[in-house]
Amino acid sequence: MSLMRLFFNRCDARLKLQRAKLLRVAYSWCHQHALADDLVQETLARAMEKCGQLREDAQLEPWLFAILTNCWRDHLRRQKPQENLEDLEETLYEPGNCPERSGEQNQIIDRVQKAVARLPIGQCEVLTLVDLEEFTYAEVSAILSIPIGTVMSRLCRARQALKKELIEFDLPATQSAGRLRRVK
Amino acid sequence: MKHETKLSAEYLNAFIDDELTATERANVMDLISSDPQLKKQVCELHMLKEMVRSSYYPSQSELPVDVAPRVWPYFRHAAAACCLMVLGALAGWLGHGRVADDAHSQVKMVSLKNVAARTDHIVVHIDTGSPQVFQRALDQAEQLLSEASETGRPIQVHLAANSHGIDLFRSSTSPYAERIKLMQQHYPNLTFIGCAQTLRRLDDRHQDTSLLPQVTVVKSVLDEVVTDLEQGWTYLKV
Repeated sequence: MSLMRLFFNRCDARLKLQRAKLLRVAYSWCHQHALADDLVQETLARAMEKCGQLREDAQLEPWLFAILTNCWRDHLRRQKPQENLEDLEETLYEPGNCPERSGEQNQIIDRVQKAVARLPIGQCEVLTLVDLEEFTYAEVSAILSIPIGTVMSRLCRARQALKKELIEFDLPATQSAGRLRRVK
Repeated sequence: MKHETKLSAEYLNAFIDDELTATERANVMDLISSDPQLKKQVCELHMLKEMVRSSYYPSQSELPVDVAPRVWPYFRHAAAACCLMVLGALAGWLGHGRVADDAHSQVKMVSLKNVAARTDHIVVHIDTGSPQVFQRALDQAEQLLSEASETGRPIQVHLAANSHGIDLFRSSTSPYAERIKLMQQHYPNLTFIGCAQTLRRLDDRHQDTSLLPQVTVVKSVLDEVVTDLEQGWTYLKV
């Protein structure tokens, strides 16, 4: 087996270990299992292509999530090419009948996921990277290519919105159509 | 993290997300102890974080073998765990609080209301990583065990560590490895407990997670502490 082949096999194994984490975050962004799966597949495919660019093992996870972010943004642009997605703070992603979960036992999980799904995309991205994957603010800043101050302010606004919905249990009706929408 | 004289919402979030230095964290804890409103804010933020974390797990088949799925009953513990986080400043929220007699000991003792308190069962909890805290925790545990031993009183002590507190038990970081070994030999009724969740996070960041041989690992130290509390154990926050 060539050295190159050995390298790619090792890289492939490391990527597969990250799949579950990527899938969880991808789902928390789009709240659609099929789309989350597609995004992660695309992320891993791109990562395999660029595996040689990764110089430090410790950077694998932030690097993969940065690729996932790019895949997600590409999806949003394809979905709504006329929409300016530069200011994600003002953009909502409405995935339709979200989240894809039902059953009385999951009512609280449903409530949380619906509240997260109602966050503007930029806030949702920051919140899930910090809360689900425990990235530091600096790592989130690098993954999303935004200043650390923006990470902090988006996180703060996201949690304020969640507090309003989850702690005060003030839930608006579920959205029914999957689309992008401006908040302002 | 830039120092702020007044605690902004961003600063409180940074506290929750462990983005502050040890000194900054200590300052926030001091403020929490004297400000019920701040205490409530911090608890709510922590609860929100736990709610989000507990609501997004992929299907079983997608999980790596070392990642245990959270089940929603965990939320009950999450709510209690957020209380524990501010427990050092709490005395009175969970129930009746009894602050340690020595004003300089920087420890607080609390047990749950409506639960028969068992002062012979004590859980000492640390989640910060300074050598001073480690020393205080070990001193406190040793004092309890020593006093009980002298009077012939049976006692059980858990010394539980998570977050930065786990450094007390890590082979590569513990400044008290020898002392822990001696304490374990001397006091069979003392159990050192480390947190698997914390270790997994360290492992994710490629840090050494090997622990001292005397340490027992549980899935979640916060869950373990809450369970102890529910069984009447006295909680001692260092």
